[in-house]
Amino acid sequence: MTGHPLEELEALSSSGGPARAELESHLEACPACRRELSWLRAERTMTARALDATDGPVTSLWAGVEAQLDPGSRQASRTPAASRAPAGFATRGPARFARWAALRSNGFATRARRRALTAFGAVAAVALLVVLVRKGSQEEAEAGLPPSAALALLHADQEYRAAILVLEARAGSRGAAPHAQARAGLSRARAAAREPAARVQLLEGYAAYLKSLRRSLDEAEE
Amino acid sequence: MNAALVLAALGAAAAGRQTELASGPGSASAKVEGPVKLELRAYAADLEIVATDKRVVTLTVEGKPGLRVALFLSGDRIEAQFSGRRQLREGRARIELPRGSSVDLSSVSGAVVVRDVGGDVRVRGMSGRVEVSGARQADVETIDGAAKVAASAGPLRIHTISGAISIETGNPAGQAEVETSSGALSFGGRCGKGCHVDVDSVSGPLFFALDRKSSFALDFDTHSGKLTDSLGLDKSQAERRGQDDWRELRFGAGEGAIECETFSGDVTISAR
Repeated sequence: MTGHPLEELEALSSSGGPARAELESHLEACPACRRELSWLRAERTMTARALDATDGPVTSLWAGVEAQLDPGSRQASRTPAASRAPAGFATRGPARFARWAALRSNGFATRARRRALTAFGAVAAVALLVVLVRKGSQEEAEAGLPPSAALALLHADQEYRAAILVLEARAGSRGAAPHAQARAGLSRARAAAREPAARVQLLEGYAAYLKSLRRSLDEAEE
Repeated sequence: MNAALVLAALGAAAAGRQTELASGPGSASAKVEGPVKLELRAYAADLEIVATDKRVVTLTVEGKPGLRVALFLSGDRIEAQFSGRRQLREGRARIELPRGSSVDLSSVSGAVVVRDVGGDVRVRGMSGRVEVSGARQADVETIDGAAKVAASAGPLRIHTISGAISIETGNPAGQAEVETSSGALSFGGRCGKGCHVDVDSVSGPLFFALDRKSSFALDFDTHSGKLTDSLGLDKSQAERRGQDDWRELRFGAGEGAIECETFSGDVTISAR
């Protein structure tokens, strides 16, 4: 402990103007404060990841999309516990939950419907991708993040985008409008995503968009 | 939990605050009535969670002399504090919980090991390895940390960015949902009636070592990945279309389902 009001320092670090300049000046002369601030930011990142698992707008969106495509699939989500996906599916992965319920009851016969569901939902989910926008530099946002994790996030970002470029080129004009909408949403999210939690969420968006592109290609070739 | 704890929980929830159950230097132990839900956060500290047949929750921290450890009841969860902080930054913590308990853990770079708690396990990690065995269901996310899950009775959800994933299942009706960018998956066990394994990967290779008593349909979809099969899948339903490789194959009666979707990741199916 440094004896300084660290929570206030942490709040100041996210602000701008003279207060921030004063804080930076203080941090230069206080190694213990710098370290504490780093811990606090790491805690904030972890809290954000924990909150990320709660029901949010994407879950609500999925319920609506699912209902429009197939009211029966909503019934599936109210079936006995033995048929339910684990809690994580219902929170972080509503798309997965819908697929899970459908597959359990119908096997691969539901492939076409699941594809449609995924394609619609991926675009919609990307459009609603929520990122944690904070002021401050990338270095500040990554404070407390292990270097190997930072590298993994960077590599995955490049890998997803490279794969998306390949499939977009193959898709050509097929599904151009919704894909353009999803791409624009992802670009905005990428520009704003600094915190590790937001960057992980962005990668989930990439994965959903990649899946949507694959579905478009599959359906065109069928 | 006993009546006193329930009343304390209700009171705490109504007041929006926590109730201290136990505290002490380096260790804290609280009696409970049965299985509990535990929430714990760590940074570089290693966490080991194990089950006990006793009706007690015990938290011990090693390598941090002078640290005051406390257990709190917050709503229906038990949370830990370390000298007033909710996050254990360094050292090593060992937690004993009544069998059947559930845990919600987060860690940045420390290792997380959860053994035989019997309840639901949720882990949000980054770079530290995560090992879970004997859970009712497991939900694990890491960035580059390896994730190893074994002997989970219920469904699994594992997401990593580049962390290696290992799943060993003894349940032929096991269910798993896996997502990775470049992390490799190793899946071992039997997939029969009721089994569903759904894997999405960008470049991460997928290895399945399956029991010959398995019975499943394989849905394989890739842009440039390769499928290698030494198990002896029924190739009569193979189908290649356009620039993608998409196949629906079968082993045995095809009662379970394995879905593998990759961009460039290879898939290897073999017998164990």
